[in-house]
Amino acid sequence: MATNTYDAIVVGSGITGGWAAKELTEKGLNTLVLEAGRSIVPEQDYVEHVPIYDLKYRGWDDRAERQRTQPIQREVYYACDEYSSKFFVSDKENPYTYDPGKKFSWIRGRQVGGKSITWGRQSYRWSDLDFEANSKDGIAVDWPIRYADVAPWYDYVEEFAGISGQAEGLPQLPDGKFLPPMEMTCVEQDFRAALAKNFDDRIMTIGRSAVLTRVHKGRAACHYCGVCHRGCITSSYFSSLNSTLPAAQKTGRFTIRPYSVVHSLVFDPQTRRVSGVRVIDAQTKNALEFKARLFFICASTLESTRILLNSATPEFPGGLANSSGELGHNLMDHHMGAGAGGEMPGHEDKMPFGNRPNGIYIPRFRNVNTKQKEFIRGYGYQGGGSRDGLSAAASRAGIGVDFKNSLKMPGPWRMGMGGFGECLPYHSNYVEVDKEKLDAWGIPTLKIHFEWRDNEHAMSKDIAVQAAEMLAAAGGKEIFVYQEISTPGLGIHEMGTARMGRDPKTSVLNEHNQAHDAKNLFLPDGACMTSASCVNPSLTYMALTARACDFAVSEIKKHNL
Amino acid sequence: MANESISRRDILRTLALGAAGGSVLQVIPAEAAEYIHQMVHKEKAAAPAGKYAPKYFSASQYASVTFLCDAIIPKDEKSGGAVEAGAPEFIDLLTSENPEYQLKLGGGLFWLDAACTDRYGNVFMECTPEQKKEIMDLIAFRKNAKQDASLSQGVAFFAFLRNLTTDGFYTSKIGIADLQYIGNTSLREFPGCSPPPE
Repeated sequence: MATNTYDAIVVGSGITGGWAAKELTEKGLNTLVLEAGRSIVPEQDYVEHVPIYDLKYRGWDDRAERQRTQPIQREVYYACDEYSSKFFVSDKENPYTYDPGKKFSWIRGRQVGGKSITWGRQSYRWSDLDFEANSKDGIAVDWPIRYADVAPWYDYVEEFAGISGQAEGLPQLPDGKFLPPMEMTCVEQDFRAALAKNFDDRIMTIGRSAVLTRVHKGRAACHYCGVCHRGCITSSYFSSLNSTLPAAQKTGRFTIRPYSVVHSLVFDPQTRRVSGVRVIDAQTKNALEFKARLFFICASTLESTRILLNSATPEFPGGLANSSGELGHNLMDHHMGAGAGGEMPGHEDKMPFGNRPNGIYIPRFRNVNTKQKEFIRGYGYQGGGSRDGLSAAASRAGIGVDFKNSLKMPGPWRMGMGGFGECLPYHSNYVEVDKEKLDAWGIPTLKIHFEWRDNEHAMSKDIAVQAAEMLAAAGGKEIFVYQEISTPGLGIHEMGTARMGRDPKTSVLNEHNQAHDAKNLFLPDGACMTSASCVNPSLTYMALTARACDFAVSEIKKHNL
Repeated sequence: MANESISRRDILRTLALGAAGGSVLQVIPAEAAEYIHQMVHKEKAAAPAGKYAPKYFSASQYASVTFLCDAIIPKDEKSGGAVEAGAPEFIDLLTSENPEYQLKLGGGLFWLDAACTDRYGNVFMECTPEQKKEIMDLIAFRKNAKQDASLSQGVAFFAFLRNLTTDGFYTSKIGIADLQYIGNTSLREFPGCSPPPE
């Protein structure tokens, strides 16, 4: 049917789907975006300025209900709450399994905007320390690209998205096209100075964040209410809803279809191309099919891979575009759960004011210029320094007016930091489809096999020790150290399972995020990652998506696609 | 993943911080601020009419909870108290769906009545104002449990109820007004640190 045919189809409307929609429509392609979830109406769905007393449970949430429908999603306790649980999937409708004793917490957002509504907004460039890592360590496969290949695309996406940050001139964390940085609090300024004085291998900088510090591309600057994951009516942080999807809409070549759950792709063995996509309407449960010349699968790392695994053909019994056998393998996430915090004496005469939706960043310093014995790769810290206020109430005693007044006295300043560590790509960390266990739309679900190994555990210990040492060197008191490696998945930086590489025998995608086995099929989201770096990945997904779209359209123009 | 973990207590903390810096207020473009105000206004749910019927506590337990909430955060010349702020309803609603709270609060109320019967020959609500004040002063401070171990359960109960009362109060309109919190203040920039309020 003509109405079901487009130049390009994009599956997913989150960070990468939004970019693909913008780039492809702006380059002249009539593009359909299929989104599994509902539409979002900012005026109704954004709740960042709803006072807490207007919530039924005043922010404590209906815990019994949350446990019933979102037992896994609610592990993201700071975001999947009484305000924002609606931006996370129902675990009942979207089941998956993992090995006994090897939990993987798979966090998902199914709505127009995807997880770009609730993401952490930390935006860093990767460097050749990352792109060369597998090659230098002799593990997995080499990235088919280097920093120089991605650098112009980092420029391109940063200029559109708007990233605030401070240039530091570090080779392992390249500077970008920054909007002015956000201010540090006084204890953070002290801490930065203390690191510079006491360590010659590390620095602290303000987080580089996709939150606007100036009016940018028609979007207002941040007003520091600080709860971005509830939505932002002034469009001050980057989400696909706030920026890329409106840009696509402007072209007049953009169609978005919510409630469109992709079942699988149709592969034509004659042309060796993907010819269509099978969709189940989430509301009617009717099966539909849409056709196009070009397919961008941007459904999030594991959902994109799941679609390919569910698209097996006689030629590709282990999943579409899986002649390498690597599809589903080499799953990674960042490990967290180690860090330290402490009281920072002084500054009793000062208070932070406003809610900065950003923290500090201590870029990787391990295995940069020196070599660790215990582990390869490295980690970075995110954290911040602020002053205790009412949070001290739990330790206050008494009753009556004296108690009431004591609640309003500020507590001490604190500095805290937690590590994000790189995870190696292990072939044996993988996903497969379980044809027996179906989701609410009858689609086979994933079985996830994942565990941290020695390298991650050794690194996690070092993260805790170094955090404590830095706090002690900066004059911290009452330092507490924690080190319990996070449940895999809770980094919400799942990567890999359809890795890029030069050799079709050992990788799923080539250097343009194009499937080796089907030239009109592109996966630019986290599935493509060949290694994990320790750096937050979303900015790199954006750059790779824009780069892949540019390549795909140039191939169409050259009649190669 | 978000690096800033915004917990419930952090939300409360930010309320306190909001109160701290009235002197450095700056506003975003008027139309954006106006939009925010409209949003807030639109989203404000109308308070349910009529009297609250406790879901978990019995009538006599609820009377005790209400009395204790009022004692913990009373009305003063500056602002209303925890009862006015709806803390007893808030605590009952949360307790009704949480077995852990039921154990802590239900058990604590039994302890309180038993302790009062031992000391004064009456359950808590039937004690004289002086007797009530005496027992509350005993369990409002952890140091008292160190001297008299028989108070431990009462002290733990009271500390838990005090936290819930505080949360109930500072998540209410009255409590937020007590902080002189001025709404989701729109700032032109994050100023780092500023002097504390006078």
